[in-house]
Parts: sequence; C-alpha cells; structure tokens
Amino acid sequence: MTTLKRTVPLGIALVAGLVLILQGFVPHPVSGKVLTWTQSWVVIIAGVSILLGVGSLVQAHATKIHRQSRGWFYSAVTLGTFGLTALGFFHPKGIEPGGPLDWSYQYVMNEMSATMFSILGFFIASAAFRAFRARSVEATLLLVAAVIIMLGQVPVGAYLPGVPQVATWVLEVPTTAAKRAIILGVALGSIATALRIIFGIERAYLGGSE
Amino acid sequence: MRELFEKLLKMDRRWIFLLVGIALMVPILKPLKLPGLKASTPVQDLYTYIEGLPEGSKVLISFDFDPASKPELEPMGAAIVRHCMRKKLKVVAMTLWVTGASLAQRVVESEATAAGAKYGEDYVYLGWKPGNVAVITGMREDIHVVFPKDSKQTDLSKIPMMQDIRRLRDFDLAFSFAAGSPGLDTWIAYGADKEKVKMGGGSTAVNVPSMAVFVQSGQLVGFIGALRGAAEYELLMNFSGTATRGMDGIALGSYLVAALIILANIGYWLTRKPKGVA
Repeated sequence: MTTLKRTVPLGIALVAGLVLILQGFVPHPVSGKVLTWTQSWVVIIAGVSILLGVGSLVQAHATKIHRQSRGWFYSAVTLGTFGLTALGFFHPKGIEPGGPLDWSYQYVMNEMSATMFSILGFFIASAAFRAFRARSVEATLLLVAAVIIMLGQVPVGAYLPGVPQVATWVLEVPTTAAKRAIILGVALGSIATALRIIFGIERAYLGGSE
Repeated sequence: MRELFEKLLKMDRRWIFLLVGIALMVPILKPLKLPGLKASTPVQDLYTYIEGLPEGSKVLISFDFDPASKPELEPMGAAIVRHCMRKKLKVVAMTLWVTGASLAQRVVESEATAAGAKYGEDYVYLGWKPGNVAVITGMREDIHVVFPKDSKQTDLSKIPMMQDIRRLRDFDLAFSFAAGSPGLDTWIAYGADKEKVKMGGGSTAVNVPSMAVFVQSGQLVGFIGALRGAAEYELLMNFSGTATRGMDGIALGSYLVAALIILANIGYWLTRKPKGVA
C-alpha cells in the first residue's frame, strides 16, 4: 500500500515535473507534441477533479445534516439547490437559452452574486468610517493616500488642483514598485515550492499527517 | 462641538448604509452627468491600437469573470466587442471561468447582433474548458485540439472563420477581461509573452495596481481599469453605456466615503482623551 500511496505518486510528480520543465527549454516539434499531449491530460484531470469536488461537497454537507451540526439547515439548502440544478440537465431544454439552467443562472446566480458584491460597498463605507483613524504616522500616510486616490479616480476629481497628479503618482510609482516586488517574490516562492514537490520534499499534497 | 462628534462617532452604521444607498441610487434614478471624464493613457492606447488594426484582423477575447464582477467588467467587454465589430475585425470569444460562460455569450451575441455580424464568419464563441493554464498553453499548440467544438457544438474545422486560426500566434490581438486568476496575468505569462502576441485587457478596481505593472513594462498594448476605464472607452467610442451611467454613482459614493473618513478623523482628534487619562 505504501508503494501505491507514496512511491508511485512521488515518482509521477518527479517525472512529470522534470519533463515539463525540460519541455519549456526545448524548441522542437516533438517537445510541442509532448506539451499538447500533457495538456490533454491536464484537461481530463481537471474534469475528473470537478467530479471529485462534487462528491466531496455532497459528503461533507450530508454528514453535517445527518449529525444535525450547527448550521445544518444551510447545508440542506446547499444540497437542495445543488440537486435542483442537477435536475435541470434532464429538462428537454437543458442548458439552452430559456431552459431551467439558463433561467436559474440568469435570475438567481447572477443577481445573488451581484448582490453579495454590492453589499461590500456598504460595509467598506461603514468600516472606513469606524477604522480609518490617523493614530500613527503610518496610518496617517495610508489614510491620506486612500482619500487622494479615491478622489483622483472619479471624474470630478479632475477639478481638484493636484489631486489627479498625486493619485497617478501614488498608483504608478510606490504602488507599482511594491506590486512588482510582490509578484517577483511570489514567483520565486512558486519555483521553490514546485522544486520541493518535484523532488518529494513537500508531501502535504499526498494527504495524511506528514 | 465635542459632544456632537462623540455622537457622530457612535452613529448607528445603518445611517451610513442609508447615506451610501442614497448616494448610489440618486444618479441611477436621475443621471447627473458629472463632468471631468477624459480618457487615461492606457485606455487611449488600447483604443488607438484597435483603430490601427486592418479590417479582418483576428482578435481573441477571453471573458474571465463571473456574475459578481459583471457590473464592473461587462461594460468594457461590450465596448471592446462593439469596437471590433465596428472595425470589422474577426472576433473569437471564450472564457476560463465556468461561471462566466453564459455572461460572455450574451455580451458577444448582443453586440454582434446589433452590428449585423454573422456567426462563424465574423465571430465565434468557443465557450469554456477546464484546465486554466493548460487551456492557454494548449491553445499555443492547437486551438482545434483544446476546443474541438464551439459553444453551439459545431466542429471548429467546419467553421469558415476558424480555418486559418489554429494557434494563439494567429491572433493579431488578444484580450482578457479578468476579475482574478486565471486572468490577464495568466494570459500574459503563459500565452502572449511566449507567442509574442499583442495583449490588451481590463480588470476590476482591486486588481488595477497589479495590472499596472504589465502596462508599465509594455506587456500590454493598453488597459481598461474598472468601471471608470470602461466609461473612458465609451467616451472614445462616442456612446453612453452602463459604465458612463455608473460613474455618477461611483463619484458620489467616493465623495461620501472620503467625507466620512475626514469627519471621523476630525471627531477622533477632538474627542480623544489625553495620554494618561483613563
């Protein structure tokens, strides 16, 4: 069992990782074919992972309902709506425009997602009023920058002397510099993590306690 | 004065919600047409680049967002599709976000119908495929393998427009309108930069600072930042769409939040107790 659970997955990760790293440096048609072939596998695995996700979702919520854990009602709503949506596929119109899935997407998911996102605006306003205080030099800098950018980003801000220029400078110089540093840091971190996985140092993805 | 600010700082947050609601609703019910909007350099650059493309140029548009970001990103997507149709460019649309598949289709279909474009000859909608990065890298090799059929289940090989579009590098310009990852940066890193394809795009307001990096480095020919960017593009296109109408609400909302922050800080300094006082 250890062979199947550990050695084989580690071997697959090692071979797949090394082949795909090398592929990136080999400008040959065969190398391109290897990539295309691998991509097909990735698409298939991504499709299967959706099925696994569905199984996991049903299992987690069914357990919660069965045990009547806290908030089990929401799990029932999740599973109920999930089941209803799945049933929609069996309708003659299926995913076509005007069918039940299109209807639920258009009039339920669209509106609920937009509502959730819109509510953020109200909470941000309230949080800004309560938490944005000039308690220290750093907090004051953050506060002043936030107000200037907010005003500089709206059309009428163009009439406030200096505000659009300062807002543009803040966005283009310090913000972009910090963002670039973050992107580079994340990229280096990703390379390090990828190498750890390829060489079997990082094994958390295999599950278990190790 | 001190008592007034003490009361203000303890104000029930529902009053703030009400004020925000009014600030957003008023311009929707009665557009204010606030002045001062003008195209920023990245938006102007994108517009100029599309204007310079010859008729029949091939454009890929990836709508990488879901309904939550629809109000912010759909207007810019619609404006770009409209511009492409006006310029008689060939548009291939798709999405990397499964929850955006239907949204993208509606935008493309409605703009194409309004422009009198013919499906399969002037535009195609490929739909969604799982795999994110794998989809992009796969499209570098062969689009017909990644998407054997379009969203209408027609073989790509039977679509006239797709006959000479096989790989990502066949496009003259690619776009991604992205709410997150996979999105614009994914397209740049795994697609456009590798194949030397010109790339443009747009993102939500929270992602604008991240994308500014790519604008500065020249990896994007132009960029539309949030609803304001979309309104700027509509201005260049000389039409007033949902982005232009939404800008009044954003302006009033931003002024309100700025005013609240300033008021709260005046209150904080006036009402704070000196150090050492319990």
